[in-house]
Amino acid sequence: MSAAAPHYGETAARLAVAHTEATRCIHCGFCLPACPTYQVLGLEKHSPRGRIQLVKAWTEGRVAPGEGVAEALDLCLGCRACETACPVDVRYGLILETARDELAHHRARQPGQVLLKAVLRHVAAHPRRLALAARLTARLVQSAAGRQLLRAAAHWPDSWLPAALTFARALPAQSGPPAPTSRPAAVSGLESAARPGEHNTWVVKHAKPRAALFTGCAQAGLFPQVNEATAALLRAAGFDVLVPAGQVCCGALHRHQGDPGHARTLLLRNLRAFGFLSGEPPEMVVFNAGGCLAWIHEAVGVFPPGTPERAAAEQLAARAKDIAAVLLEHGWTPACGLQNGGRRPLRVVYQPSCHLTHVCGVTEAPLKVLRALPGVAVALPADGGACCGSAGIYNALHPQVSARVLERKMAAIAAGGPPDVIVTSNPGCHLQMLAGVRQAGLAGQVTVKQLPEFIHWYVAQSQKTKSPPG
Amino acid sequence: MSETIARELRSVLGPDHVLSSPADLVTYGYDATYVSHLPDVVVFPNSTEQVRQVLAVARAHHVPVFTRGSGTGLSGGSVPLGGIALVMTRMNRILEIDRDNLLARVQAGVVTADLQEAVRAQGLFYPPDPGSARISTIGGNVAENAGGPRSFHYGTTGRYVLGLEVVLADGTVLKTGGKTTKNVTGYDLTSLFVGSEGTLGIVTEVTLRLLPPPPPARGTLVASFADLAALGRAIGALAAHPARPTSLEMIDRHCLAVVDDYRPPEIPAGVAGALLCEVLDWPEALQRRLRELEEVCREAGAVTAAGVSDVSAQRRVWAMREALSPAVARIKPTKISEDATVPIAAIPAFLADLEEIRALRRVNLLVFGHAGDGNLHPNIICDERDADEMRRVQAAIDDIFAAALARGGTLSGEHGIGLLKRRYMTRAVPAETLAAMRRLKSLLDPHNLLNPGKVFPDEARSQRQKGGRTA
Repeated sequence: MSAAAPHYGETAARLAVAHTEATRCIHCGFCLPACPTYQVLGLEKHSPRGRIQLVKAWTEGRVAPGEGVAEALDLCLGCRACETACPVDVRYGLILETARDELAHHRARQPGQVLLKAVLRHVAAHPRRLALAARLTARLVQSAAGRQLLRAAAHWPDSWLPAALTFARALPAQSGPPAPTSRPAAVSGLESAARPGEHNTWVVKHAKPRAALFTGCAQAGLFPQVNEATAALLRAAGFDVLVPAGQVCCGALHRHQGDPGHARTLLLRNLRAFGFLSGEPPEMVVFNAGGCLAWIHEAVGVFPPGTPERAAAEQLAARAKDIAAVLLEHGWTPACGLQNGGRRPLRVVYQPSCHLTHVCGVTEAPLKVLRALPGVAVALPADGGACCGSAGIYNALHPQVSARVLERKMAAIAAGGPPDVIVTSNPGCHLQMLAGVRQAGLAGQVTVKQLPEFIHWYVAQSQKTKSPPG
Repeated sequence: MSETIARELRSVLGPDHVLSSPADLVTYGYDATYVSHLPDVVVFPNSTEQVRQVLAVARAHHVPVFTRGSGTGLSGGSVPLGGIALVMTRMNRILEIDRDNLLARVQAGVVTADLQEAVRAQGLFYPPDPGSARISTIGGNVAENAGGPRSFHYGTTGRYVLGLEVVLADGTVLKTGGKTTKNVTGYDLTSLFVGSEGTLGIVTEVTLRLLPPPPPARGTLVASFADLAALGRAIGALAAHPARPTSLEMIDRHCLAVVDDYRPPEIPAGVAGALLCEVLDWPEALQRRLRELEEVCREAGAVTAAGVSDVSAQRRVWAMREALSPAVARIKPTKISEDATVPIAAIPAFLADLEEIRALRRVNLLVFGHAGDGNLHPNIICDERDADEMRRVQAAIDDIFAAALARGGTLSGEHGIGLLKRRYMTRAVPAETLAAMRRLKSLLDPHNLLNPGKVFPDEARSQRQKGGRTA
């Protein structure tokens, strides 16, 4: 087998924690059917078992990153479904991220890695810039030049560009944080003049439980209506809703792409913004994006034990909740207690965020709150809710594989006939489902909404028409 | 391996289906045991004809061929020792489900659970239920004659194989058996290939017998025992009773200690072991049968015996069983799952042997398994990085097989011999019988191209096993 890379000992030392965890894998293969990339690519190196054994072999100097290990790690979606499937609870996420950090370290000077890091730090983490970039991209692909590019790209069917363009075409053309005048619906506290730790003044304070809303970056930039709906639902459930100013991107994307340093910086800023480091932290921080919530739950380890930052991160993690779980726990009932009036129920397929399912363990609450709506028939996709192929920015980095995962996903969603609405619980999944609906030729037939957005819309519609929409 | 061979294989299968990057070699070098070796090249045929062509290349260059399904084996049976790793996962088509004749015809790479699901959708039932059914392939199940908990009632994979298509080392394509459940037309070659671990031919297609689904009501019998003798008596009495359960699983006191947090109310603390049985019957008959089986256990000396039909109570019982693997894995990273099988009347004595071995070799030995078939799974929890412990583990494994053989048992009930148990073969099989097996092997595979170094002891490549890397 290959010669060990120079400075191999340092690599082995940095990978030690991954190696220890990898030795716990009994290679039984129970993760194989749960792994979307194994299912579409059919190769052991694209399965969790294979990747774990590759990281182990890499640490032991038996194989080098360039000999297929890097490719295998790059093509992992990071959906973590393997952790739920694992009979011996191997922490795959720990192995993957440790190995990805090491890969990023090796690639630190490669132009692609430098660009990716810069884009993630300076565009993706900023809702307004992200929205602008999305608008520009959407405009470009829909322009005459864009259409020409698409036609040209059809000549290189196996390359990145045409696959990436199919995803780019699904970007919402009209997106971006709402103008500040539209408060109180405007919940993007990002541009507020308020200092970190202060709360927006429009919140009416009285003796209600307080819930702080985490607005995120992609959510705020691309799907601001989801944040508005989340706030509205929380108010309807009897909460005072705070939208702390100064909050920023959660850092999950940075963490998953081998930039843990920046993820830590962002977490620190959020801990300050939400008052966990000083001042009075809220009793509850509500998330509507599974990816963000999962990272906040796992992020405590970026600070050493015993530090005030660690204690603050632990407190935030303990108080960070998913919107559906909050609604369920607080006995929320939809304000549309009307019967269906004999019409067929609205068919909803709930496509969960992988990290909400496999990292946070929130599986029942979203289904329960959706099923509380009269006149709605809720089902999971036929595959039980496997990853859609969005996986953060995977669809931009690996659009070909993402498209194959998505194709299977759409087949699973439409297995019982196309639904009326696909409900998701993460902005990335939302985008991917928009692309999937287009790809499956279901545009105009199937609507995509995130859970709070859907519930808010459904309740509002039913109040307007005195019967459930559909 | 020379580039010539890889080039010839690529011209047969296409470049995408011949892999030789280090990452591919590493990831096709293991199964679910702790042994692994690198193949020289990994190939993915898509048809019987392509399997034939791969074998032609192998013959021309004298390169061994190691057939593999999903790599869930528990004896190293599919682990390559260099050569060509022939992966059957692309041959995953269900060719036919014949409802009228209660049979299915599938390619060898079909995943067991996919077949189970497909026949269930047609109102039929494929009974074999290996623990890895969601991953394992039918071809692998045939090669190792896989069992599972329900084998107690339904039998192992071999009982459902009506016919096979097999490619021999010389490229001949054999069709054995047929579409009938009764078939005495010449030698039963089908049975010859079942459990042959890829050493006699490469199974490419399997015709399987199906059954109507079992009756719909499910109950669970839970019984616990203060001593192993009583537990052994109960196993025998349950197996011999007309109301006998569908599965008859045991779990020893060491396992119970590990999953004490999950212990259901039906099992008191501090017992020597417990039996967990699945009972499938018609709703109106279930209660009566459960009462009947409770009584059998009590007569055998059970401390407690409860026939549970409530769904959530049953879930609690089986949740304890499911919690066992992760709980065990938290103790130490390496789990060696053995497969020794004894005649059921010898179970109490064998369990006592295992207790002695545990103490003598100072190993963490836990026993659970398919007691109704005498198919116990002594599991040793250890750390492969601890050389001293691994020496004691190896000694314990030797002791376990010696004890099983001394009690009239055998090396494997359902995992096969593969790499890991071949050194015990001379003790387990009479010399004449082993010689006859070798003659059969050399008749069908004269150049020893198919899965060499497996099943038989002391073959040419056995030295590589010793020097090989473990992963």
